[in-house]
Amino acid sequence: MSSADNIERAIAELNLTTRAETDKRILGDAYAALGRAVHNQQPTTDTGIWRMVVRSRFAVPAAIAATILMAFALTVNYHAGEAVSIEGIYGALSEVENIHISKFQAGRSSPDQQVWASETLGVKLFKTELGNQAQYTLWDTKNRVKMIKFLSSNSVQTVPITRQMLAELEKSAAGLADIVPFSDINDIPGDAQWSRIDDREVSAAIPGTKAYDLTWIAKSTDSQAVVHRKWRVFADDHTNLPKRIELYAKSRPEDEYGFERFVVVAYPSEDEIQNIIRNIFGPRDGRPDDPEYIGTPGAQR
Amino acid sequence: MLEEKRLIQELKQGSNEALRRIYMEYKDNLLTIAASMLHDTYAAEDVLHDVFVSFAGSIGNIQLRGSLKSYLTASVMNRVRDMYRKKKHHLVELEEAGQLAADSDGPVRSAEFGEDAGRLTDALAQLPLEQQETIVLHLNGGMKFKEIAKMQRIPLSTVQGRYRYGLDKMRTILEERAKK
Repeated sequence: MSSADNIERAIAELNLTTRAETDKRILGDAYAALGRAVHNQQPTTDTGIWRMVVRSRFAVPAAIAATILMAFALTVNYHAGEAVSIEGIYGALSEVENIHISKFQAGRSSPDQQVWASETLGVKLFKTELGNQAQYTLWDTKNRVKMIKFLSSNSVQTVPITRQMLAELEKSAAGLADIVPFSDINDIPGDAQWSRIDDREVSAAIPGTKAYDLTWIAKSTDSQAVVHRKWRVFADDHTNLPKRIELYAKSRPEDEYGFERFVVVAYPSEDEIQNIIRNIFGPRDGRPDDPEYIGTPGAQR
Repeated sequence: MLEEKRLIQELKQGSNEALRRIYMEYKDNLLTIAASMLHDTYAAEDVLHDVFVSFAGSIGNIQLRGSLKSYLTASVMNRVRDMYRKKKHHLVELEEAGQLAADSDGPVRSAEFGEDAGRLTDALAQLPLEQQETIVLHLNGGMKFKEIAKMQRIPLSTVQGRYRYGLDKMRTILEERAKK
């Protein structure tokens, strides 16, 4: 049972069967719970609000007033319902397959790093600026090849991806860690605050979005130092997907938050990502027309 | 899916037969998932009990967005997490009271699974909870990585990473044991 395949098969074959007395106990209790639930949801007669209203001598005006109030309540609820929760943002992101992230330091107009990632194509492309040097690094995990293009010399270096490199890649670029404040939603502190920003000026900064703040206090594990953090997200009105993220921090509660960095997020198609790769690393010379070959030149190049 | 919708509709009208059919369809798989995570068949049966009683009791409010199997599996996982939290708290208390060594639950853990499978579940138990969940949901629950990501509201790549790291670690644990 040493290979991963065998372990997977062995786990998949694990199977337990309930005992007859367990079935009896569970079904007995579940039937009773079902009976109670169905009984409790039976409509009551003659006691509904509508009946009380129509029986009163103020029936018509009261009914109209009630209708107006209900309409108003629904309108209020409708507007409140437009706000998206932090779970809604994580949920929307969990379905994303292609993404383009541009990371900026506050006050800078050109990004430090850009990342294009496609789950379906199995590629991650990084563009990193190091001083005057810039380079593209492509991780083509399906074809197990890593390619680096140095823009200064226009040269390409190709290396096969080992299992260890793949693990390191996944660890360092753990999914959407650059976008969300915590890679696992369950790690968000219980006392974190989530709020929609009512300031129209802020919301108008990115058209078609609504802005929200998540604030929390980050405590270091080895000292008593705390940092007050704020993660601002501009979420698309229709998809709830972040279009821009801003990160702020302060050391004392009475201070103003300092703007540290921001991230611009786009959601390109597979074709767009393939085209970007092709434009950087060249056409698929002599490669079979297999969808798994996503435009990366051969490893021998 | 249509059959599921019909069963839920009948259940909402109080049909014991619909409840029995749903229970018989999923009970063994859900029990296996819970036992793989908890390493304790009795605790797994308690989870199964709570899930079905709660499911039946709240049938009026249930609106399925995905499959019934995903819903029940997610309910099992939520309760498993609760039990983990309680167990952790309990272990801390025992440790503080110096009773930990005398309160081993080892024999219960793997007895129901048999010797080979017991070794496997013991190795599984040594992984972080998140990795265990991913492996069990994928292999025992038959859920795709994408479904797990959606259920747990985490990125797909995180799910894939947890799965791969978990399997690698299990392989190492089992190989080390085999050498001894």
